[in-house]
Amino acid sequence: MIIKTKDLTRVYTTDEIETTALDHISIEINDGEFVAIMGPSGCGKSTLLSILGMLDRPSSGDYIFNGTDVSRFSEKQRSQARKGSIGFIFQSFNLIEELSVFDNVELPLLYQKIGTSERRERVEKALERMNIMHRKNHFPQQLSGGQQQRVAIARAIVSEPSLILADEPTGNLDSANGEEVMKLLSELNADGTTIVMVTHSPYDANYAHRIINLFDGQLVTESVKKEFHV
Amino acid sequence: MIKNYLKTTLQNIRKHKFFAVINILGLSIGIASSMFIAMYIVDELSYDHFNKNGDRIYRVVLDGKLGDQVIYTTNTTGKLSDALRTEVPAVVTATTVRGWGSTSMLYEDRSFIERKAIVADSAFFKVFTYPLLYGDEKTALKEPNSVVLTEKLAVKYFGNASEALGKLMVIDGDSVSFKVTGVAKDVPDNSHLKFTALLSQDSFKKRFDNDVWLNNNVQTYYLLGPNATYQQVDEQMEGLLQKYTSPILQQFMGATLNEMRAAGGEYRYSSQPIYDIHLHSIYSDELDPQGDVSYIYILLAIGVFILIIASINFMNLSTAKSANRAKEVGLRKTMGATRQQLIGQFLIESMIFSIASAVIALLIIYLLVPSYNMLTDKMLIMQSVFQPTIVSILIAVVFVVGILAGSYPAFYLTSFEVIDVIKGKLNAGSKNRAVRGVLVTFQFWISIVLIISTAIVYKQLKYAQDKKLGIDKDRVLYVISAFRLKNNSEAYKNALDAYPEVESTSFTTTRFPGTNNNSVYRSKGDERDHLLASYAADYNNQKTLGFKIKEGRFFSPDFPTDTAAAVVNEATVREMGWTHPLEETIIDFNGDAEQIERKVIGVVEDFNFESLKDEIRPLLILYATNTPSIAIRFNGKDYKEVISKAEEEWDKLVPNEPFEYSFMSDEFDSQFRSEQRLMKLFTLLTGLAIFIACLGLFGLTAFTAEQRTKEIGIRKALGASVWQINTLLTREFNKLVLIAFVLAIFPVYYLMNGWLNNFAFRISMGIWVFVMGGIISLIISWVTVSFQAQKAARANPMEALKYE
Repeated sequence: MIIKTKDLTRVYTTDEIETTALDHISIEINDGEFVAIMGPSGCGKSTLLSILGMLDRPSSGDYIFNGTDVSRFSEKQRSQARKGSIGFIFQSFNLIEELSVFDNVELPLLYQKIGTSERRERVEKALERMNIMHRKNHFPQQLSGGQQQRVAIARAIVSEPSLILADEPTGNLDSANGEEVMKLLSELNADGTTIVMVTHSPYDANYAHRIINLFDGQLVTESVKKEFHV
Repeated sequence: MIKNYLKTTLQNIRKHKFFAVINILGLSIGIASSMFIAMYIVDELSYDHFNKNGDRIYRVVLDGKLGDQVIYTTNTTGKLSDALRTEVPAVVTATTVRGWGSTSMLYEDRSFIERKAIVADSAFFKVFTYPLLYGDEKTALKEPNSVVLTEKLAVKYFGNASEALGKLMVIDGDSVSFKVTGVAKDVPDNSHLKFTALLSQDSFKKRFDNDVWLNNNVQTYYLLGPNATYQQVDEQMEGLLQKYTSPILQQFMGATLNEMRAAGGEYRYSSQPIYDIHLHSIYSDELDPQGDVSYIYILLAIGVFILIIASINFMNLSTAKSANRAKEVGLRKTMGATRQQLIGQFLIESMIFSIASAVIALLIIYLLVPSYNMLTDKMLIMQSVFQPTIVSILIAVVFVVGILAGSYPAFYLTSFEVIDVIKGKLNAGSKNRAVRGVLVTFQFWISIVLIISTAIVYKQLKYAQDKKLGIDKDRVLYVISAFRLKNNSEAYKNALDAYPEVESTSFTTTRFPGTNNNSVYRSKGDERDHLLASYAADYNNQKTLGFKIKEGRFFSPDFPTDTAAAVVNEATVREMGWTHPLEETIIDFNGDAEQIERKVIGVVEDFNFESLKDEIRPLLILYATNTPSIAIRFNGKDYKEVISKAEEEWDKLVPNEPFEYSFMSDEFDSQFRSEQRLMKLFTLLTGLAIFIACLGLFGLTAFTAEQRTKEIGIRKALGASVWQINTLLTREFNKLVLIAFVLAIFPVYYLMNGWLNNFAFRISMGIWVFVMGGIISLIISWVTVSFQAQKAARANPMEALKYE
C-alpha cells in the first residue's frame, strides 16, 4: 500500500477565522492504483493532494507513505522523502518561463544530484516518450497548451516516481489535448505508476479505478469504476 | 475625491503593513540622520556669526620662514593692536587677547581653578559682540584689576549674577584684588574664542610693557572700517613691520627684513576673516582647538549618502509594490477615472508616505537631541531644526522622494490599456528589475565604502594611541601651576620623593604633548637661523619621562656648568647638520638679554613630544628648576593613592591654594578626542546607513519572493530543499553586493590614503580591511535576504501552483 491516511485533518487559521479544509479523512491507496478525487470547488481536494504530496502538513491525523509515517516530518525530511518518489502535474502546467523545455524537465534530476550524462539520457527519454523531443530547446511560452502539459508530464516522470499527483491536468486544455493527456496518464498507470488525480470532469474520472468524493472537507462516497488487482 | 484617495492609502497601509512600516521607518530614520548631520554642519558653519560686525572682524596671523622651517601661527606681538589703532586708518579699532591658562579665583570661601580666563584690553567689546548683562561695555575692561565674568561663573561665586557687580575677588593668589566690573552672557557654544572670565590688560601693565615687536605671544583682532578692505590693512601692516620689526631683526640677527626675505626667509603679518577661524584655519597656537572643514565634507557626504539610501529604499519598495496594483488601476479606469485623476491619486499617496516619514523623523530628532549632543559634544536644540536652511532641505527631500517614488506608478501603470490590465496580461513589476538592481548595488556600494572607511579610521586612531612615543606616557602625573607653592616647591618635591610609590619627580616648564616655546637659535660658527622647540627641566627629567640618551649625558648635579648647557634631540642634530654634536655650541639669543652660549652635552633619541600628526621637530632641552609644573613618575597601578598623597602634601604647604593635576597619558589621548568623537559619530552613521540599506533589502526580498512564489512552488514540488530555494533568492542579491564591493575598493583606497596622509605616523591600509569589509557586507546582506527567503521557502506552494 503506497498511501494510507487516518483521520487526516487540516485547519487553516487566518486572523480570527478558522477553516477546516480537511475533516478526518481516512483513505487507502494501493500500489499501481489510479484514483480520482472529485468534489465541488473548495471541498478540500487540493489540500488533500498537497498533503499527499508532502507539500503541506496535516494539523492532525496520520499519513503513512510507503509504510513510513510522514505526518510529523520536518520540512527537510519531507523534501527528502518527496524527491524522486512523487511527480506533480498541474492544471496550469507550471513550467518555469525562464527555462527551456529541456531545462524544465531536467530540474527534478538536478535536485537529486544526478550526473550530467545520466540526466541528459533520462530527460531525452522522457521527452521522447511524451513525443515532444523536437521542442526541447523551445521555451514554454512558445508551445501550445497541450504541448506544455506534455512537457509537464515529462518533468513529472523523469525521476521515475512511484506516485504521480495530478491536479486537474486537463483543466486548461481543449478536449482533443485533454484526451491525449488522459491517455498518457493511463499508459503510465499501466506501466505501474500510481496516480492520484483531482478532477472536475466525470469523463476524466472514468479513466480511474476508483473515485473518492469530497464535500466540505469530508469523505462522502467512494465508488469503484474498474476492477483493480493488487 | 481626496477622501477616497486617503481611504485607499490607509487601506493600502493596513493591507501591506509590512511594506508600509519598512518604507516609512527607513525613510524617517534616513531623514532624521541627515537632519542631525545638517544641524551639526549648520552649527559648525555658524561659528562667530553672532558678532554684529562679524564680516568686518579679522585676526592677524603670522607667516614666517626661518631656514627650512615654516611657521604659521596665530601669535602676534602685543605691540600690534596699538599700532593698528593709531597708525592704520582702515582699522576702526583693534584688541589684544591673551590666553591666561589656569587661573585660581577666590571669593570668600569659594575658590576654584578656572581654565578659560583670558586677558583683554578695553577695545575687546568694541570688536566682539559679547553682551553684558550687568556693567558697562565701555568701561568694564578699562581700569587695572577689573574682571568680567560670564553669567555662569558669576552664579558660581556669588550665587546670583546680579550680585556680582562691584565685588572683589582674589585672582592667582595675588595680594591685589580684582573688582567685578561686568557680567557677560555666557559665551555662545559657536564662538571660536571661549572664556569664562576676562581680566583687564592694564592689571598686568608692568609685564606687558616689556612686549617687543619681535616677540609674538598674543592674539590680535581688528575691526575693519566699513569701506576699507583687509588688503589695505595687510599693506599697512607691512609698513609697520618695516618700521618697527626690521630694525630689531637687524640688531639681533644681523639682517633687515628685506635682507632676510632676499635670503629666502619670510616674516609677514596678514589678516584672517574671523568666520574662517573655526573651520579653515591652518594656523597653530589657537587658544581653543578648532574644527576642520574636511570633516564637514565627510559628514555632508555621509548625510547625503544616507538620504540617498533611504530614498532609494522608498522608491524601490513603492514601485515594486505598485506593480501589484495594475488591476486596481484597470478597475478605476473602467469606472470612469481619468488618467489625470489616477496620476493624482498615486502622487498624493506617495506624498502622504513621505510626509508621514518626515513627521516621524522630527519626532525621532526631538527624542534623541540630548543623546546626540552627548555624542557630538555640542549644545544643539530641537529648535535649530526649524531654521530656513534645514527646513527647506527637509521640504525638498519630502517632495523629491515623494514625487519620484509616486511617479512610476502614476505615469507607467496608468498608461496601460484597460483590457490588458484586467486580463492580467501585464506583469509590470519585473520590468524594473534591472533598475532596482542598479539602485540596490548603489546602496551597498555606499554601505561598503562606509564600512571599510570606518574600519581604517579606527585602525589609525588605535595605532596612534598605542604608538610608542619614545617616552613612557603612562603613570606620569603632572602637578600643574606649581608656582603657587612659592618658596615651598623644593620642599614639596622632596616630600613626594619620600613616598615609595613615587619613582622620581622632575620640575619642567612644559607638559607634554607640546612645548610652549619656539625660538631661533644658531650653531656657533654658522650664520643660519634655526627654529627649535624648547623646554627647561631639572636633572631628573630624563629618568622621570623615560626617554633615551643616544650620545653624551643628561644634566647632572656633578657638573655645575650644566645649568647653562644644552641637550638636544636627533632632529636638532640633523637640522643643524652636525657630525659631532658633543663638540658643538648653541647660541641662545635669550630675548632682550645678553645672548648665551650653550654647550651641547647630550643627544637624546627622538621622541614624540607633540602631536602624532606632526613629524618630530628639533628640540632643545635647557636646565631649570622651580618651574610651573612637576612631573611625577609613579609605580604600580594605584594612581588615586598618588593623587591623594600629592594633594595631601600640597595642602600641608599651601592650604589656601587649589591643587591641580593631570595625567600625561590623558593629555596625549586628548589630542585624539575630536577624532574619537567623530569616530563614534561615523560608526553610528555607518551602522544606520547599513541598517536602512538592509531594511530596503529586506522589503525587496519579500517582494521578489512574492513575485517568484510560483517558481519557488514549482521548484519545491520538484524536490528543491529550503536551502536550495534560499540560495536561489540570495544569489541574486549576493551578486549585486559583490559588484558593489569591487566598485568600492578604489574610491575607498583613494579617499582613505588622502586622510591617512594627514598623519606623520600612519598605518598602511593592508588588504585585510578590504576583505573584511567585503565579507561583512556579504554576510549582512545574506542574512537579511535569507530571513525573508526562508519564509518563502517554507510556505505551502500549492496555492501558488493552482492558479495563474
